[in-house]
Amino acid sequence: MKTMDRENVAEWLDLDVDGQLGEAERARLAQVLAAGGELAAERRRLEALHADLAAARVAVRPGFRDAVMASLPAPAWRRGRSWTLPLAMAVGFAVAAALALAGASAEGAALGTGVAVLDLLATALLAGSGLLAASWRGLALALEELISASGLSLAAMALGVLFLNLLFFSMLRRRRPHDPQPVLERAAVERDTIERQ
Amino acid sequence: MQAQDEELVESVLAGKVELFAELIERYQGRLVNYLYRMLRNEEDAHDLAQEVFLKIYGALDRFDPRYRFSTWLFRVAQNAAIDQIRKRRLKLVSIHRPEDADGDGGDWELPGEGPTPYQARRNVERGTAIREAIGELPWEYQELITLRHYGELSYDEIATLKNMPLGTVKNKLFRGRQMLKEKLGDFLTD
Repeated sequence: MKTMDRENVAEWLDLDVDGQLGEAERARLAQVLAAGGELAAERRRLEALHADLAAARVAVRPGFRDAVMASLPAPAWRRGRSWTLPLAMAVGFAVAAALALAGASAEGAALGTGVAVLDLLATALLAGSGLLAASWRGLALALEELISASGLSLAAMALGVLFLNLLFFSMLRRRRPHDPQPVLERAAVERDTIERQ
Repeated sequence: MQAQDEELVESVLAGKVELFAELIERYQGRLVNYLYRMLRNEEDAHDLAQEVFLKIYGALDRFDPRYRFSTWLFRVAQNAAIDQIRKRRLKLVSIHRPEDADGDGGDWELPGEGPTPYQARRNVERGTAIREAIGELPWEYQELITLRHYGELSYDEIATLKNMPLGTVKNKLFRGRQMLKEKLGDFLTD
């Protein structure tokens, strides 16, 4: 806060009536106030304004708190995390695995079955990565052909890559928190329009 | 010693749900009055205040204790009020009674407790004048006056809620009250 002078004494007065000044500041204000009756009148008007604003408050209807307490739902944080489904799935998987192993053991080929399953998974993985490699290779060849066609194609491609990067960055960029001020103003205008109707 | 709001939230989350009543007790008057100034209807303000408390309770585990409970509560209330204003066509009953066939118009007789008819009428007039004077302020001043005098938020809390420097809050409140003083003029309590 600035130092107190005739210019901003009204601001100090306003803060004092609103209970925002410390002891030292209040003492300094009292000295200034002692000098003139005009400021004392201004203070009374401010106090009257505060009193009128306070008097315009409405009373909370009786039983409001109890009504809210009675209607509290059971929120998610009180129910706690449900482990039923994951547990059921784990048990189901264990039972199925046990049954499969037991069946295989009965024929004396538990180990062989396990190896076969792993072999199957490895083959699938290999086939998948082969397909992926082939796809990327095809794409690379097409791009190479396009780029080498002319300098213009190369420039166009570079520009395309640049725009793509910018697009990704704009998508990744953290959004600024929503400022409700314009929305509030619009809502106030709507409310006033409704009232005038 | 009275527990801080944030401590109460922690206790509620730990299972002492009954302590949520303490939070309601602390904020019900301020919230209802803030919403009343926003919606200009007492019934709607109470209904919405109840909804806000329920919403807050349901999301209590998402409360960040680094911030004040009050600013969180009023932020939720502010958003809820905006939705409400948009959803509902506010049905307002004017205190001014239209003239009938005999040319007998004037104000509705409003029930009063204690004061004489003259005082009651004067109070109603003053209440209406205050409501209108606040409503005529530029929106940014209107909002800060409502948060301070009806939401009873501290200057710091308003600064946090509105994302404004503390000095700006002080200055705008000062200017807002100056404008109110001028608008209310004769209505200010003698």
